[in-house]
Amino acid sequence: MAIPLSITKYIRSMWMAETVITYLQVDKQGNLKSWGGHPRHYGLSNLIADRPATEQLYFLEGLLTAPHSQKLEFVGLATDRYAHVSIIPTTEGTWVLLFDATAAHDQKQKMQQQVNELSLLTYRQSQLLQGLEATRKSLEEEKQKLEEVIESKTNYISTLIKTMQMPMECVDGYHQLLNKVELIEARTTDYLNVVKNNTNQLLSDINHVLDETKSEAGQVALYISHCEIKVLLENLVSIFQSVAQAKGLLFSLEIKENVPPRVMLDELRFQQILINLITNGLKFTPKGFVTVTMSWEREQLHFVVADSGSGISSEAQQKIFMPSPPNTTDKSMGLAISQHFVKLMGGQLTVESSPKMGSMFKGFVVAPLPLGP
Amino acid sequence: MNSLPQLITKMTIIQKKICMIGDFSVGKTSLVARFVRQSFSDKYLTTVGVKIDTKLINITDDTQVKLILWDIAGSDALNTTTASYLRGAAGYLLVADGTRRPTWDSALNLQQAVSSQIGNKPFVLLLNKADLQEQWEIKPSLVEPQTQQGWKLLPTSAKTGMGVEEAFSLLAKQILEIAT
Ligand SMILES: Nc1nc2c(ncn2[C@@H]2O[C@H](COP(=O)(O)OP(=O)(O)OP(=O)(O)O)[C@@H](O)[C@H]2O)c(=O)[nH]1
Ligand SMILES: [Mg+2]
Repeated sequence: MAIPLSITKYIRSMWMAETVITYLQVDKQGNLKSWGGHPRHYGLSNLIADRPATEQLYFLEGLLTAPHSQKLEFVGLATDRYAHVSIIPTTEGTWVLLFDATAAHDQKQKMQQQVNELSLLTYRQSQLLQGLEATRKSLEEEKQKLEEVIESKTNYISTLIKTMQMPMECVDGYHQLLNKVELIEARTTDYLNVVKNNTNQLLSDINHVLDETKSEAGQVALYISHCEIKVLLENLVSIFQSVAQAKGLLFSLEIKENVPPRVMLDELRFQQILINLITNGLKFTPKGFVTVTMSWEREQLHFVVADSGSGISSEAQQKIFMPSPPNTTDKSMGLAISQHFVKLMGGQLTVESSPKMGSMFKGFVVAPLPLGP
Repeated sequence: MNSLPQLITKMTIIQKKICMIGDFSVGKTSLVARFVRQSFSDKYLTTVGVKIDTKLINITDDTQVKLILWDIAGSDALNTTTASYLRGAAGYLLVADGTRRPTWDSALNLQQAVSSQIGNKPFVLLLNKADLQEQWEIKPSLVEPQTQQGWKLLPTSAKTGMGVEEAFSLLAKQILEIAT
């Protein structure tokens, strides 16, 4: 079979360019006819003439039927060598030419490798940035929500406090009336009842507020100032005396001599603690007494609120200082918050009680003497 | 007489050319390496041009097929060089990298380009790197339209070998029109 002139010319030009050339010749039936050059270069060994070419040269599978020339660049066969492949149909069959392109391949591979790696890196970076942006956004939304919650809580509390003002003014008014009126039995009792009702209302409102602020109690800041302890206690007595009388209870306050006239503490919080303890005492004592005792020792203000009430089982004592779930009424109120405040003020609050034997709440808060005169 | 069995095997083996198509670094070379040599490397060495491998597989008890695997350089679109490799292919594996969403779009584009080049040939779409679930970017809702169209989709991992044998044999069966 004669080599067509065009192919001879082509091969010669490649030869001149010092390209390593291999050729394979396939007949019309697809059988390998002859070969030359360096087939082993591409791992093409044990070639057998007159046997199907595609069985020996797998890469030719599906390619021998084309009516026109094909060029395939950078074809890697069994070895690390790459070739540009030309498949040229002639009247007698097909010529397959392999021009070694290993060097060009390796060079192009290095360049492409850098391009691809850079592109992968850029992609990963943009993914990372997107992730960060998403995190930032969700944090922003979270913050927004929290601020809304805080605002609605604040609104709720201020509404509650407003509703407390009315009964408070009422108490005040009737108290003034009481002071003026001669003690006529029936009338006095009426007024006292009004006082009692309003006081109860007021105290339960206060406890609502306290419950409401419970979750924020961890953030409560103390406002420590000079506190006239006796004035504070006498105010408490004036609030609770009438309630106790209406219930037929004895309410007494004992201030030990060692209590200084002024100490440093958060007056409002301390008052809240005592209000809670006394309210509970009055509430759970059907008859007998509620007494408050104050003493002072080593910069600590000690208090005891004792009653002759129904007492608390040791089981209930375990849970008494735990925050109560919302909407549980008619239980001892505000003990958890009292405990929290006491701890905040550097002290301790404990209970001693047994059923039918009354209860005794004992505690102290840090209350140093004021500096200077 | 002694050489008869040899002759029979030589005569009955069918050969089919299969192309690996997909964007760069999706794992085409790794899938072939896993399938042909049961090996895997974490190192990325991009393919330039095409690398040809073969593997003989048993499709059914009495059918063997020699797959001529053309592992083609990855790209997001078909260029004249890569298009020239497609001639004579009996089918192809379309590969996407599950951890890179854009390679899914490339796969869809390539499928169109390939079928306009060589006609409607069987193919299986592989979602490779299935071992990297935590980086997965191709959501089920994304692939829904293609599965609805009846495309064969398969999660694979060249790293663990998951789905790899299945992928090649599923394609071979489709090519030989053997019910799956
Ligand atoms: N984790 C994991 N990595 C894989 C998997 N398949 C491939 N890789 C990695 O992905 C990178 C690219 O793999 P190749 O097989 O070279 O990808 P390719 O599609 O041939 O890439 P081109 O030749 O550039 O088109 C390599 O670092 C592989 O180790 C897989 O299933 N799981
Ligand atoms: Mg590759």
